[in-house]
Amino acid sequence: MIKHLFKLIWNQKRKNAGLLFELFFSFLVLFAVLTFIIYNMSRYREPLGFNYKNVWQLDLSWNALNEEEQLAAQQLFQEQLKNYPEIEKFSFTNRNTPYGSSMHINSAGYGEKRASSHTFIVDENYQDLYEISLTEGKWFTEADMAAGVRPVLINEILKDELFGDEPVLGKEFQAYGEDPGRVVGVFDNYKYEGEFSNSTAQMFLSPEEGHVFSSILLRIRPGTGANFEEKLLKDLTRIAKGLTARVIYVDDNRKSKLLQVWLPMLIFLVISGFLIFNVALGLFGVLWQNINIRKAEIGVRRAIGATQGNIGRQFIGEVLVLSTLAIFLGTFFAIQFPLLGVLGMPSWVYLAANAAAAIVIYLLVAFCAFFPSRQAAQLHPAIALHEE
Amino acid sequence: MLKNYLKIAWKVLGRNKFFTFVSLFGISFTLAVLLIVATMLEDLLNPKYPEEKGRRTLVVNEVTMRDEDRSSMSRSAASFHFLDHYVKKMKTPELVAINSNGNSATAFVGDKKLALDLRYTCENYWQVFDFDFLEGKPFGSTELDNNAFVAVISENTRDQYFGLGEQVVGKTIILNGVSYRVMGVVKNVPFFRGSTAADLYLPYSTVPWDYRRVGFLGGFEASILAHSRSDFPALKAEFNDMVSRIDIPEDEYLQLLEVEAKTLLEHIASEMTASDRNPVGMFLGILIGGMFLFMLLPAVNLINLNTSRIMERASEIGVRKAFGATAHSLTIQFLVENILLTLLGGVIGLALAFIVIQILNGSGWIPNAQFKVNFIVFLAGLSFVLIFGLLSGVLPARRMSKMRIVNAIKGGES
Repeated sequence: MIKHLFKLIWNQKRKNAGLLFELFFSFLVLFAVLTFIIYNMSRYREPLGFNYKNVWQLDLSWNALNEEEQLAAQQLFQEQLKNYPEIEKFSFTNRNTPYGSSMHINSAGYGEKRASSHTFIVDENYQDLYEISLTEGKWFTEADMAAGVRPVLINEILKDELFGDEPVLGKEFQAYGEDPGRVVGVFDNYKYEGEFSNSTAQMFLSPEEGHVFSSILLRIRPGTGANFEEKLLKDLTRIAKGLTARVIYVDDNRKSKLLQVWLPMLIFLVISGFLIFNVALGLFGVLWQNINIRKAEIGVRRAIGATQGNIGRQFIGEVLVLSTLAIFLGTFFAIQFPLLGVLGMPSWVYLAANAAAAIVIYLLVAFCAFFPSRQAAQLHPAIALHEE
Repeated sequence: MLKNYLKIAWKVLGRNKFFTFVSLFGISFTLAVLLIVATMLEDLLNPKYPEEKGRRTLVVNEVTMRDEDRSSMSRSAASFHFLDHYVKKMKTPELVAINSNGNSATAFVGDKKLALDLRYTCENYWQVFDFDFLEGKPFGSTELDNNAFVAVISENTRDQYFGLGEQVVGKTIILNGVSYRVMGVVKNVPFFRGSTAADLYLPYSTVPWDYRRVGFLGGFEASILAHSRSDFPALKAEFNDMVSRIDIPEDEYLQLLEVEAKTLLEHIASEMTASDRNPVGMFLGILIGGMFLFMLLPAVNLINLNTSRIMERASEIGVRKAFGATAHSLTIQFLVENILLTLLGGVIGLALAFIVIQILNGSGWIPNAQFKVNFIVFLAGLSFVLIFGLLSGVLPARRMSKMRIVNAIKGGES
């Protein structure tokens, strides 16, 4: 049967070459778009690891204040922020915070091994504020910070890269360049670059003595508005003359960060949707035309005993064989991505995208072939033969 | 003769409405999408309000410092010191304007917060760029010298802070807790104008941090206005020469200074492609490649459809051939039909693009942007469509005109 279908396709090779190319190209478009979508959705499904709701980020520009003035102001802020009933929790941090645009990467080492790690310098309240979960140990406290070697928390990825299977709690290593750090805990997911980002090696590092932070995170009582923000900024700039501060709603930052992925995804979907719809209509027209031309053939087959089902299956079978050829051809190109590892995505993403693209093509083709085939099958032998 | 062909073509289009619809759909949507993209690109790449002099402007907006073995590097906008001390003293330019990039201010109206994008600018800024002042005037060197707290605000900022259409010159606006007197109101600038998009403009003398610090990295950029485009090579040469003469103190860790004066296209290309090597070529390559790929599928589809459509008329061709029509005249006939079809699709596509752009302009999805379908873009689109139509028509028409009469009259099966 299949062999026969191949022969039929070969007999019409000129006409089918066009269809084959069209299907092949559609497959590639689908493959590209689906790879992008499947990859991002798999990222999205992985837990975020912190709670961004009702968090404000207060960015401080110290401007012309000198270091002593900055430190003094920071101490005063610590006390001042406790006075507001609108602020539930607060934590001092450097600028590389969730959904922000800064990152800080440094090199850490243990024995012979070195690894680069996203590094966050934060204070002792950070875990409590962002609700980060730990798999081992505890977050550092003021007592830990006073104990000499800087306490550090690392994530599972950094732990694997540096320590392998060794127990890590209490271990000292070169945490920050050559500066030593002592592991006090291991934390779970913390995808600070947003839902669509990749997990990377990370560490939370306690500040050095006399460190001046550039941001303060505030968890705000729900329903607090701009009036409080205005009052807060006024109070802080009164404490530190010359300071410029601004408040960013982390939720707003999150939305614009997510939009950077949603928007291209939407555009790709719309464009590929248009292309595929175009192809579907064209396919429908061409198949319909093909079957009209082959009325005589249908008549003969019906006259010598083929059932309606036989005829319908033959026509659908022909296009399915054709799309199988196109998909094989497309897969040959698609498979190069995981083999060459060019884009650094896990192989299963490509395989899933390949399979999904193949399924879409089959469905599309079967759908487009269904009505013309049924029409062909329902032709009365006498009418079909009459054409001859 | 041509009139006859057109008549037949029109009849044929009406006879098989499904085929006609599919072809028109493919052509018009492809053209509409291309036109919309081209219109947006034209607005982005061609100098528009208030950067009308963009054709003869170079920008300096990125400085890279490396250490000697090139293992560490630091990159950001330029420092005020570098632009003021070196770039502004160049001889070739007509004018140099300095402005900051990426600053913001918070203002409060009642219980509402306004987060405003802000630029600190110098007096030349208002000459290099042609802002439309709805009222008031720009600040000049007097205000800068007197350290005056004055502001030029955008129409949007005025409407949100003071109220729709108010007269506001002389009134006070409180930004980051500091009072500024409004000197002028300018027409809004769309967000993608790299040197001019902002909600308010303040004199650089009111910058709160120590902006005159010696160094090369900072938050400022410069727009260098040349007398004409032909001055660009001389200007770039002077710029590079000036950079190469700069002495970096030996105790600095980052010793190598890399900075370039770029045209608008060079700047956008390097931003979009994030490539250091020939970004313009890469940018244009990606654009043209993308458009080609986008057109490929509808084109192949059209070829397939045309082939089928002509097949259907095999017997008509057979009869015409039997009565002596040459292959040549048959080819011409089919091409005329095809071109008529593509032109029709082109007109619908243009209308679609026009409607979508009107909706985009009206919706405010792209803040402050006012796109216009450019005539040249339209002509380019139309010629695309004609090539598209010719290519997709020639192949089937030639095949058909070569068919043997017997087969043709029988109804196909070449």
